[in-house]
Amino acid sequence: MDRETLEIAVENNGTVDARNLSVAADLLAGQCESVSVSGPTPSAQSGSRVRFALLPILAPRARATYRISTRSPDGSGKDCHARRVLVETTIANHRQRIIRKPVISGTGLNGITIDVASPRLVPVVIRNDTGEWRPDLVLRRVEWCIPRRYREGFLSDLAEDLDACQRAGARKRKLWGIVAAQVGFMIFAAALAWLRDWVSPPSKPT
Amino acid sequence: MMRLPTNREAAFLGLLIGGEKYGRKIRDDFEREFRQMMPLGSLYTTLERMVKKGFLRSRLGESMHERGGYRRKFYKITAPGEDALHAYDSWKAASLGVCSNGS
Repeated sequence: MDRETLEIAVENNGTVDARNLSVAADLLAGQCESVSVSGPTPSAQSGSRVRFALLPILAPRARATYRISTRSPDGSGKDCHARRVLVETTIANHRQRIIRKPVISGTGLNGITIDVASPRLVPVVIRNDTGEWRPDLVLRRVEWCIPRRYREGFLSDLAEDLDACQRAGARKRKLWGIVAAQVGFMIFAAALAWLRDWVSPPSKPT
Repeated sequence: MMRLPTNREAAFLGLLIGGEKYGRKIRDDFEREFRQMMPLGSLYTTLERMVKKGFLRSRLGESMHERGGYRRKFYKITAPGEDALHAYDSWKAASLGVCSNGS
């Protein structure tokens, strides 16, 4: 697959109107390029930056959805979701410029929620249009919490487990359950091992 | 004095006597052999502890797209690991002998 659609959902989670919402996405130059763009306002592209025109009002609880269809320019077949994409949003009626948040697009799973009453960012979903389950992208999200010394081996084995379950027809929820259980147990086991080493450090055999 | 491996470590050493294996293969063999669940987190913390003790040596394999680009980690028993396993077997046999003589 060499073409995907990034969906950026911006939701006003607050109690007053968000005014002059701006959304811009930076697709890293040379790694990802846009093919087509759609959203509630017109867009313009300069270089690798796609900027949408200001949306005058986003009512409380309303959601504006922007879509950018992307492809990798080298034709390698690698997806843009595996790259970093920066999404920047601002709204006018905030005292401070709050909203400039790099989105982890390696997994294509983060988005932005704007809470106008109390400014903060909460992840919502940027999803790919195929709705396909991607173990490799999911694992990229959890790799930071695996100890470096066995990260590769652990994630390689987990990827194989997920692949086998997926081929056996397991649903997304079950696959997420496997990831959560294995990573959760790994954290528990690592904590126990640390405690054990702290109480009695391992010694090499003589 | 040689430090004896724990029961689980001895089980892994026994599984690795046949040759080099990677984590998932060790887990599958362990589950088949001992009919006991072995989560990957537990497996890797034990294996890494054994590497620290010098019972095993590890190396990374090739990166594969099917595994999300991650590399398998292979483990191989070392000479001190084999010695530890023999010591464990002798200790086990001796303690079983004591038990059977005592009963």
